[in-house]
Amino acid sequence: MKSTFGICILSSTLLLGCTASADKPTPKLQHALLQEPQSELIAQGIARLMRSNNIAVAKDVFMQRSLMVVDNVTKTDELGNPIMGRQLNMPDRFELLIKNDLCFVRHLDSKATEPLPNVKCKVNNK
Amino acid sequence: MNKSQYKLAVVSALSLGVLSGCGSGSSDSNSSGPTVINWTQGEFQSSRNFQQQCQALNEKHWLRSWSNETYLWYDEIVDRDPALTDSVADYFKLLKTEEITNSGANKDNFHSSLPTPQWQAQSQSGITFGYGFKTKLISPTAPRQAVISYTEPNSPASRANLTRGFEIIEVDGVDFVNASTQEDVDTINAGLFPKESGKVTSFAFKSVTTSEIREVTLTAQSIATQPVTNVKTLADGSVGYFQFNSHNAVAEKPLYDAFNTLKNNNITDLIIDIRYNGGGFLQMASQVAYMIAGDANTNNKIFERTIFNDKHPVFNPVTGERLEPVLFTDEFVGFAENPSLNPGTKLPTLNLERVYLLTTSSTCSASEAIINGLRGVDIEVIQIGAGTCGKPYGFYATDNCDVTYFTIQFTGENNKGFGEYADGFAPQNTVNTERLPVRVSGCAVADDFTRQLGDPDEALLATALNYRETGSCPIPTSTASLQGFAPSQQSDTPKVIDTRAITFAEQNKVLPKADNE
Repeated sequence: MKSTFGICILSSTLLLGCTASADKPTPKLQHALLQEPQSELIAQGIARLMRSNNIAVAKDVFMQRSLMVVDNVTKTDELGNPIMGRQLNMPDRFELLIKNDLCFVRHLDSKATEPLPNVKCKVNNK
Repeated sequence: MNKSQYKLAVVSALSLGVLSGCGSGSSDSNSSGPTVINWTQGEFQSSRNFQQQCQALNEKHWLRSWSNETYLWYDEIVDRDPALTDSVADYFKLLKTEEITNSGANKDNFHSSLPTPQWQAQSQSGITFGYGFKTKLISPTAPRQAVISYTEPNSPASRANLTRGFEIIEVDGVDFVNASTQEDVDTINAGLFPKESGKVTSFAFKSVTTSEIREVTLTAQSIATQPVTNVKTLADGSVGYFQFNSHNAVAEKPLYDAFNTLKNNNITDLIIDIRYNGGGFLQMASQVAYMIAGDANTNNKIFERTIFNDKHPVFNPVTGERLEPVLFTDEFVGFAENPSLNPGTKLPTLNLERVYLLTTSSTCSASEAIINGLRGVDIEVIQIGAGTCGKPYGFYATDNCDVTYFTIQFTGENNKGFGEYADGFAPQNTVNTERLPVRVSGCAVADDFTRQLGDPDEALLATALNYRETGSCPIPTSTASLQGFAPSQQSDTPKVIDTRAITFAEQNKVLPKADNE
């Protein structure tokens, strides 16, 4: 878990850095919703976070909820069957956050976090 | 932490298979320089000594040690000097059993790898890129045949009035059936399996019932798939039916709703259509089995006991956790955190003593676990359709040097200690000399593309309803219907294949007829 922990520290440091550079008190990271559908930018942000190829997300991702779940069940072998057809672990989850008008996407378990500079979001008051 | 370490860390954090590797301190091993590695047959260093050392020889030694530690049949791997094999990918191909099953099929058909960025490109649960139609690829080589098996609502395909039973005739002007050059098949693959939204592809389809030709241009987009559909009652309300397409995270709530609906309708028999369900989360399979069978049949009984190789009888070698059997799960887990239902909520159950399952060769893994799990507690499983794929195995996706490897690491046994179904489960009267499936009560019937799923006249569903009334199977009208699949022709023309999932390693798959309905 060293690497995961490292990410956690790194992410926290980056976020705290933002806080420290601000002149006035800033709110804590809060769960957020998108102000308008921006699925492409969300997909790109998660891809950057995961250092992966493009991600498939719903058009209305993060419009109703601050959490999304990803899984690999759609990845199939050459016969069209899921590669991971017998999965013991739980799926990965990502959440949309906001702080100082900047949106972030965060991997829930590892806390790895990626800023989303061109994304417009708002605090989720639901 | 440098950039490459950061990248590695993120990749590690997002893969359970790698999490345990992180625990072992993978970053430390990066600091070691080039290593002189001696190979002695039968002697293995810890895989940690080679982890994430991205020189070919080190990678091969990591694969060798990792396979020796975790491969289910590690003692059937012929130990070869890694230095004598050219590439890492070629060496990985050798790290599997060459044994065959009693039927003559390869014992291990699931040995594969993917570039890690490709594997890590997950999807939001239930979301795929595409047009909204699911195809059954009956023959991947010329003369090819692929038929739409179902469409998703509110998708480009359904808006174009495409339905189950339309055969693909042409893709972007290329003859789908007869294309013989790699260039043409590449065009087909690119059109049929889009990698991102916005891809525009022209298709020509032909209806298998009316021979109507339908020419459409479809734009790929993110498709919200429905894992559970067609929940209904049949036979004067006494029989429940639903289509269950995937054990993905978002399926949990609709499964809960489906069983609740059918429970409220006081059904006495249940038909679950899992003919295109290739599996997913094993615990979800245990929930489905519980909701079928109920407390009295499943209390404190094992749904599936996970078994690793004999080096790991007590602890999971990947997660380090103590091995505990998967019991029949009687509560909502919260795979996708549904706000309207809290984890721990008691699941509904139908308390049935038997269930009808509609299957094909696309019924795989966790779906087969439902069959095996229920049989382990003496619930009668009546199977209608074709033999299942035969995958009682699983693995943890494991990254090393930006390649994610899939090697069989565990198998599963039911409450009676049974788990040998590498040739799948098949209805009792199946005629198939190429495989030796586990025979189950029921009828072999060919998938019927002339009717929509859920139509009581569709052949599998109609047979299930008739079997319930009479206990007999229909007289086969063709060899295909008795076998439960349509025989396909194979040729040496290029294969149509979902290139989004193509693996590094050749999978050397035997493609028995049962896999090619």
